[in-house]
Amino acid sequence: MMNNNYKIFGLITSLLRNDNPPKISKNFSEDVMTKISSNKISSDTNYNNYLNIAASVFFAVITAYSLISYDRLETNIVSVDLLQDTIDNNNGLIRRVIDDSDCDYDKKNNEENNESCK
Amino acid sequence: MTRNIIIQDDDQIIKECLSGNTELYKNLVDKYQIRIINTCYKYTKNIVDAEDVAQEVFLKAFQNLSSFKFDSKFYSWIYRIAVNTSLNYINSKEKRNEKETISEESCLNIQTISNDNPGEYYQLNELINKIQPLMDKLPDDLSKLIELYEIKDFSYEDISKNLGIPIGTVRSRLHRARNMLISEFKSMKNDE
Repeated sequence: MMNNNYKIFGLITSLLRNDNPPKISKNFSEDVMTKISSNKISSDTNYNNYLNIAASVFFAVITAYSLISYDRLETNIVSVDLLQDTIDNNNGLIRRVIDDSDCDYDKKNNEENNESCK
Repeated sequence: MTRNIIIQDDDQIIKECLSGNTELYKNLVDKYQIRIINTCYKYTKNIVDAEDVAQEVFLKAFQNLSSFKFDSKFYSWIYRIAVNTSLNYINSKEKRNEKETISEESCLNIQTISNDNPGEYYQLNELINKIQPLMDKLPDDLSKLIELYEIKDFSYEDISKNLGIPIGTVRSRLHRARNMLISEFKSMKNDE
């Protein structure tokens, strides 16, 4: 609540103490409050700017992290394929060796009927 | 009439400012503007500069209000800010003066300042003789309280010990004394 009583009381006490300049401007306190509110507005604007910068940095970091993670995922898929190929190749070799031994294969399954194993 | 006058303690106003009601800071500015401007005036020797420095003082005090410790009076705290800001102002002015030579332009500026509009100012010296009679109209116990608290800067505790009355009574009597002084001042201005 604004009232003039503080101004009057300040005037009375300063005059009683002989603690006063010869004159003061009539709207001094209004000027101070204007300065305070303009200062507050500019600090609010600064705060918003900092907030925008912080948000931009945050999203930049998130985006960069996502891209790196995606890239790693891609690399992993390729490496899995390569691994699978290697395994397949190995299986092929193994199979080929196994295939070379008709006897062993047939021994397990149909020993009696396989003529070559007798 | 006096019942409508509300003068809050400085500590109450500061607490309300800190809790977000910053408009109340104007009450503190209103209450102490003359004394703070006078403190700055003692250093600057120029009323326009004194008001500029005093504005800075109140701004600094507002920005640092959260660091105010309630164990001292607000005026003692802001007085120290005023002295430091005035000294800084003098130092920076001296540095400026070292760089600048007095020119015709600066002489013209000084003339402009000294011829400012008198309608924009309260002439305080005219009021000095009118204030003491207002104090004389107060009952003795109340004028003594005003003298001890507002002029001699005693604390509530000191006054309580000195006069042998409880702190609550000191507070309520001071409140009554302030209200009476303000009412007397208003009626004096109305009579003029």
